[in-house]
Amino acid sequence: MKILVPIKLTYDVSQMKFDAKTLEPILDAVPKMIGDADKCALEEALKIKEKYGGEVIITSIGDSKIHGKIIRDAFAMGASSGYLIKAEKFHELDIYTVGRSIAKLALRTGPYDFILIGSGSSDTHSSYLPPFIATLLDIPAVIGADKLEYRDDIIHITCTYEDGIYKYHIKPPAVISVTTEANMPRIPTIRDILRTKKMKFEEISINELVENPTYIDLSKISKYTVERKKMILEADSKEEIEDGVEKIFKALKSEGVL
Amino acid sequence: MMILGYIPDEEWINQILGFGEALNNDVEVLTTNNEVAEAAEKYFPTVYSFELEMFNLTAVKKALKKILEKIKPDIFISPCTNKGRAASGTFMGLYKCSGISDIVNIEVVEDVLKLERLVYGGTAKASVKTGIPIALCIAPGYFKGSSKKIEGKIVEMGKIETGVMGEFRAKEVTGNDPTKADIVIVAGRGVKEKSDLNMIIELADKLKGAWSVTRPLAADYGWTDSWVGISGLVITPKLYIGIGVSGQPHHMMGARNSKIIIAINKDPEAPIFEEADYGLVGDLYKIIPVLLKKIK
Repeated sequence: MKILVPIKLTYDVSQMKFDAKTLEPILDAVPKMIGDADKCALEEALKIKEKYGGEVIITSIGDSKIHGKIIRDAFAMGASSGYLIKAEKFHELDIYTVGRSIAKLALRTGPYDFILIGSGSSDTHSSYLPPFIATLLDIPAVIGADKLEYRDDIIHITCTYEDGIYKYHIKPPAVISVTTEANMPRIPTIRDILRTKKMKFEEISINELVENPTYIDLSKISKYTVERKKMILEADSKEEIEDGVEKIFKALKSEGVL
Repeated sequence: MMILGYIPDEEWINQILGFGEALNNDVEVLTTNNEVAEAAEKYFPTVYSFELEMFNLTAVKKALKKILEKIKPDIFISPCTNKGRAASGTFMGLYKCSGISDIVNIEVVEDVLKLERLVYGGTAKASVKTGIPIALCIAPGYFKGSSKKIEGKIVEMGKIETGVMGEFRAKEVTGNDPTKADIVIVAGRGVKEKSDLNMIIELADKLKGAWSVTRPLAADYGWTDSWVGISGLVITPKLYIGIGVSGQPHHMMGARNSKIIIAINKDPEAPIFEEADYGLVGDLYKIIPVLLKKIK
């Protein structure tokens, strides 16, 4: 089995910080990591490799140093090799360029049995990439896999969508996006980290894969706030609780909600 | 401008209509469900109706291909749901164009689309510009259409055969639907035992609302099978009551567009109080009995 796992460096959005005055994000203060769903996609790829043999290949788009580190983190988890697609201004790359470069890389270094991708990155969460890449490669896609099981040359996938549970049985090749429900990704040991320290990954310039990379035309980004009344009341003692509940009910009635 | 919309579920008819109205433009729509097609015909001039054995992306790809032989849309619009996002990504691949998701606002200024979208787990809003063609997904609850009815027409596009093997099990109809209720009570990690959900349910019943939980209670503890948040349900009720909910960004992205937010939490530093209209800082196990009594 040959499996490609594209991974993205995302911000830990639970630790977002914003400038109190301008409301702009202070991104340098936010920890960066491999996306949670990307890690689950990698874990599924590794499980298939361990059972059936083959290789798990990582790719990421960006800078040799920053993205090199996350490729190395993926090596420590068990990935076999990696390609860094080098790009300047990688934060601003348009998804059209990101998808085309990964599809092109897959054509150049494949064929792959599966391309497994996290179902959405925590920073943008468009979830466009898996079906986009699959359509460019003209192979099937299944998005939002909560459970995957590969046996007898078929991958059995369970997904939860808004209206119910879908099960698909697909023959490779396919692009599958994996949710954080699928597994608990392994945590590499110190020995894993040391063992993979000398592993090398190949670097390819994004310009070799796509002509004219396109960028997002972003004019402003700021904290999303909805004006709230923020009537916050202490409700410790019995009196405070009764008083607080009374006040809130009164307010809700006057607003016509109750 | 030609706009093609994808409506996977009936509840999106109004919001897709609202998107078209925001651009002062008609929307031609694509559905893969007969009931949706019949409902959509009352609001959209043209409804392309496909019959599928079961939703799958190979079928969506085939359906889109067939439509693209007929029309050349400038904008493809779909909802920010699993099916909607997947259809947009598929459209991008077929039409060789880019895409932007989680749209909350749109206007056209001199042939350029100016959009506002949610980013960073819904904690921030970004203003972006784009040309056409483009595939977009709208975030739930931001576009509201008029209820003006028209006499549209259904264009039967036939059955799509794919050979994709699969099964579908529809979600059980329990009468508890947080995405449609006016009042939603959400239990967070402050709720200690599964059996304590009973008082949350009792509160929801008394208020004639629905109930849900935050992700850990469903995904980690397995108390129920759905939750409110970016990876779960996105709700837009008139009243949201978070009980023992701390207000992490991933959860709030699913709840932020509630009209009024009430938070009950014993931690005065819980981030949810920053986003609440009304808050009670105290022990939920002491507060809920008072609430229940009050509603009686």
